[in-house]
Amino acid sequence: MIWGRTRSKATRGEPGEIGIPRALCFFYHPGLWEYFFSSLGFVPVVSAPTSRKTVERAGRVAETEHCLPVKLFQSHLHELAEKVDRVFIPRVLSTLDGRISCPKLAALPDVAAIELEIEILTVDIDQRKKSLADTLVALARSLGANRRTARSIASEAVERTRIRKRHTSERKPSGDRYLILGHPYTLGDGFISGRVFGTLRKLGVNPEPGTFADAEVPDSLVKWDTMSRMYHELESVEPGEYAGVIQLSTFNCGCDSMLLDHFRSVAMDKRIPYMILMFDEHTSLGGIDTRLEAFVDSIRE
Amino acid sequence: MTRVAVPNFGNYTIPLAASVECLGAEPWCSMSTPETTRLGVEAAPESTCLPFKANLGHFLKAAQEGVEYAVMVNSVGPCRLRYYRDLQQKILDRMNVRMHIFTLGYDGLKKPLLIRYFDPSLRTVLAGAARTALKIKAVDSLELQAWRTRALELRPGDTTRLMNACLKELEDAKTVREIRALRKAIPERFRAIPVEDGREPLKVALVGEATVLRDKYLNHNVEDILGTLGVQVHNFFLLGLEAKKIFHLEFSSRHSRRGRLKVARPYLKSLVGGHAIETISNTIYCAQEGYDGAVHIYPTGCMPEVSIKPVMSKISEDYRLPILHCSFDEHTSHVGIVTRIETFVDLLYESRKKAGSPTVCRTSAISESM
Repeated sequence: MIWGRTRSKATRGEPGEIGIPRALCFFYHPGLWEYFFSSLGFVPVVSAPTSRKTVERAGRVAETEHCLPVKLFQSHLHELAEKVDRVFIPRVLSTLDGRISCPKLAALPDVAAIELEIEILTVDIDQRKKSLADTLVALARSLGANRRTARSIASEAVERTRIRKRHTSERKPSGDRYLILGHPYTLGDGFISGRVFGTLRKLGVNPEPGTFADAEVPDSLVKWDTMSRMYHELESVEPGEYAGVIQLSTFNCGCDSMLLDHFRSVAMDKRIPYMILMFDEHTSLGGIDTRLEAFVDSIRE
Repeated sequence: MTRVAVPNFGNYTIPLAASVECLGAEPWCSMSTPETTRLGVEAAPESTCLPFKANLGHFLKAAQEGVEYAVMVNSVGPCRLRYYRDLQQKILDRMNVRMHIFTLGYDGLKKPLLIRYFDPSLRTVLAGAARTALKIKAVDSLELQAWRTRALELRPGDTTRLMNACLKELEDAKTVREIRALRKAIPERFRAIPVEDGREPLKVALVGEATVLRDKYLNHNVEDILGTLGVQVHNFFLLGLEAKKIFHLEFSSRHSRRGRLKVARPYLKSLVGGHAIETISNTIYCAQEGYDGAVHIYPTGCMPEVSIKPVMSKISEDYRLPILHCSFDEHTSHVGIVTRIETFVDLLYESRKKAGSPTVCRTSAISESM
């Protein structure tokens, strides 16, 4: 389950630094990995938030045909490789029972091991077979923790990541609420979504990111995990609950390319205004502002 | 008789058409053309992969010609293929096109069940299945012969002409006996083509995503371009092997799923979906077998194939096997592909020359290309 170029076996007695790229799976469970590794006695080193520099580096180091999030991931990884000797890259196969993750995530640890001369610590996250807590226990055990500590750290870590569901009182129909949908790594990365939230607030409306809080997602056409959570969120929007839905998408995202047209038709059936904003390395922020202003204006009319 | 459209799968369209005869229905098939691609591109979401657009265009063309049923494979993997059937059906419905797409696949059979819907007699099913299996074998042996002969033919175009004639004959063959006789005659016919003596042609493997590897229109006929340059190609997608793997009838450790995973394991430790594991294991096989190079063919932005590109580069480095990556979409320029392949072949010739075997080069083809 865990492999890598193990130069020295990590033990609890010798705390070391572990690099965590601030991209992709990092945003699935914000804070989980920092907590997990620091309670095991390691020093988690998270890469700096995405900036122009990250994007420039991505242009140099990443595969040209990948989507923006994977390119950013590669860039964060290369940044960490200059700082630490060991990086943690989970192999995410599924984060939801019965669904599968984007195939690009499955190859990440292998590709990192090929491209970089550093130790890669990895673990299979496959929630079709094993719950997140069990995976964490096994990982902690393999890093030298005893069974009891491993269990308590894992359960505490999972408890911390539990997302608070929006209260029913908060779900009031309102004319200035906008639902922002996107993969966790597009919503979570301030470089991609920050401008959207900022501009919308400046326009005097209230943007709310999808919470994806429901543990169970009913069976549907959508089989990719994060995509199906998004789909469920969109499907369960009640008429009038939101003034509009803004979908953040990244260029060359395979999942989005297939399903966003379907999402759009779902929104149209529900008579909710729906807009897709596509991001890549060259997206102009001014263009984003203009489109958001136009969208909000047309709804206010 | 009810007509059923089958997807375009290069030369394997012929056995696929035969498989529809299992249902007692009449197959509808055609090759990809600029028109089918245009139809698909217009109807499909803009950044979907090329096979999706090609396949959708193909079905739209069939619908224009009055075909009301289509059949295609389905998968349960993580790649986009999983959504092909459902999304194409939705698009057709939204366009008010009367067509129902049946699935054959691991995904469980969607209602109405194909076999129940057409309700063919057992005799029809068995006869159709026998013809399909034989036609797959016949196409496989045709391809193998053509790759070998094309590299050495003295009159350019001989092999392709013979190949097309044989394919036509195979398409028209209605009985098991006819197909068997044809298959037996294939090596004989190819031997009749005059070939150069004593030249050891370059061997180049074609690996990558199945649809683009197989659809000669989509891949700009890479096999032909390479063959004309005097290169013996080996396209690593053979439906015979693939079918065996799907039905778990492949027992050799080399080609079974388990065997492939083991071979790919030093580079990739998990399934990435699509044909990623096949691509990696085939590349390793061809490096071990002394191929001169490999061409990695995939649709632009293909999720599994793009993910494993760094892995391919590593294999290339480790085994000293030159690999050319070619991605295809509807805007790919034919001249661009030809130029890149010619350059690649030139480099391969040069490296062979350095290794000290001067007779590899087909002088005419290379000087023409320069």
